[in-house]
Amino acid sequence: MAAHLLDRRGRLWAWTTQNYPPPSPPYAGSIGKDFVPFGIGYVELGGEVRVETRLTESDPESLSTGMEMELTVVPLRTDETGDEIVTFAFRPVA
Amino acid sequence: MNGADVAIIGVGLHPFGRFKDMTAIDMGAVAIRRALADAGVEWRDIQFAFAGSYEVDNPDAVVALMGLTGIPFTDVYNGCATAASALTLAANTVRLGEHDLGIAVGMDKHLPGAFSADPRLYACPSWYGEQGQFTTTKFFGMKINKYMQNHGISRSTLAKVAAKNYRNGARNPSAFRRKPLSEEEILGSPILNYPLTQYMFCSPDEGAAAVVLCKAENAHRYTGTPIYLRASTVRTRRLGAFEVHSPWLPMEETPGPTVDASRAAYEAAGIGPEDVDVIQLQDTDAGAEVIHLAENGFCADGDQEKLVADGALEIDGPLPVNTDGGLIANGEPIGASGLRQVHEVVLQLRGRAGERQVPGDPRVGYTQLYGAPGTAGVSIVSR
Repeated sequence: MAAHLLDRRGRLWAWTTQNYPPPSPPYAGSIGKDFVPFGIGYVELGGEVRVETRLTESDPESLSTGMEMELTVVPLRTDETGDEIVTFAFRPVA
Repeated sequence: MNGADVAIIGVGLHPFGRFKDMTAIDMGAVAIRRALADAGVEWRDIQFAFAGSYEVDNPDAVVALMGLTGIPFTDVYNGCATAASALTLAANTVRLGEHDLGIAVGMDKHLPGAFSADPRLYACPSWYGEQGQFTTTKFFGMKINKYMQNHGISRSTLAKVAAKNYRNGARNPSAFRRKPLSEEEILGSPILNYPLTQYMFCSPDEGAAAVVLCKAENAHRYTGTPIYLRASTVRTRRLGAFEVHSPWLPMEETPGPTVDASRAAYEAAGIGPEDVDVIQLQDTDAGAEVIHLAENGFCADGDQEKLVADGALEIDGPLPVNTDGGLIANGEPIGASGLRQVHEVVLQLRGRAGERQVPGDPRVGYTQLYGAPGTAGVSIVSR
């Protein structure tokens, strides 16, 4: 096996929104009143592969199939020592 | 006779819903007793059994309530296609000539709320669950959202499908949800995964169902109205299928396991979709019923918009789907769900479905299950 770098930008292939907190565990993000809805979708990277990812947008009006997306990081939760835990997501290219 | 080698001579159901004083095993025993009574046989006549459950490790323990007769009794778990697998294995046991008379039973008792598990048990990485992607509902949201864009299906069609299933459930004394809901109430309930709202989804619940099978040539010893099992198939996903719990997908697309199971079942039965009179489809959500209508060959992609508007899927329509209310009105006790579907089509083909009877003397029934982690089951039955 060899590492293979994928594009940081791609096109949105399919999407939905996650409007309720996923069962925890396994979900490690904030739940209860601190839960913030997020988008989920597949982004097609360089015609090579479709990766499933969180999306920064959770408003259906701001998402459309085929739109250009780019990699970013978003906060997931704050751990017991007060450190912010981040994860990857894709956001629409402005 | 029609070349079928396996007949269904009895069906039994413990109602689906919430029953705080009953265990899954208790409900399994009720379903078995009802299926035996329906077939006119005793527990001691049963030569083998298969039992499906998600929550119960050893559903064969139901023998403690039925009688310790020493029969081979095998437990099955195969995701949302668990009941289809129990039925297929039971049918094959008869087909192989190993035994002449046996039973397939499914039972479950789930906690409320979305299904959950450790993603690693599904060959997914831990981070997939940690960041909130390990839910089945978001897959159904993505699949129908894409399907609606590609094939011109409206959200109003999704609401109409859900409303039909609640309406059918209201006619079914064994259903979990028996209150009709309007399209407006369904569309107005909270969005869980766009475009799907709360009332467009089924819920995990409790219940049990059982089916007694025998060698087809013996069927008339037991019943005047045997229903022949013409095909029962299970398939899993191939690379390229758009499936639940897929952290990535290749670019090349392949049809899903429902399409594969459906084609194999039609071929084995020598029956086509045009011959089917009553249909049970996996409606985890209203969108799944819309997509599955095409994946099982009952219409072309996009035709659903007009079919639903014209009432084609209603009990008195040309393509009656989920006549007992489907998963949306019955909920999903995983181990029992597919045997509930078989129970319903058997009642329909016997003309004994009461208030929800499909008119016109239906002769061929069809059932389909689909679920995590990309498994489908189809059965075709006929008089």
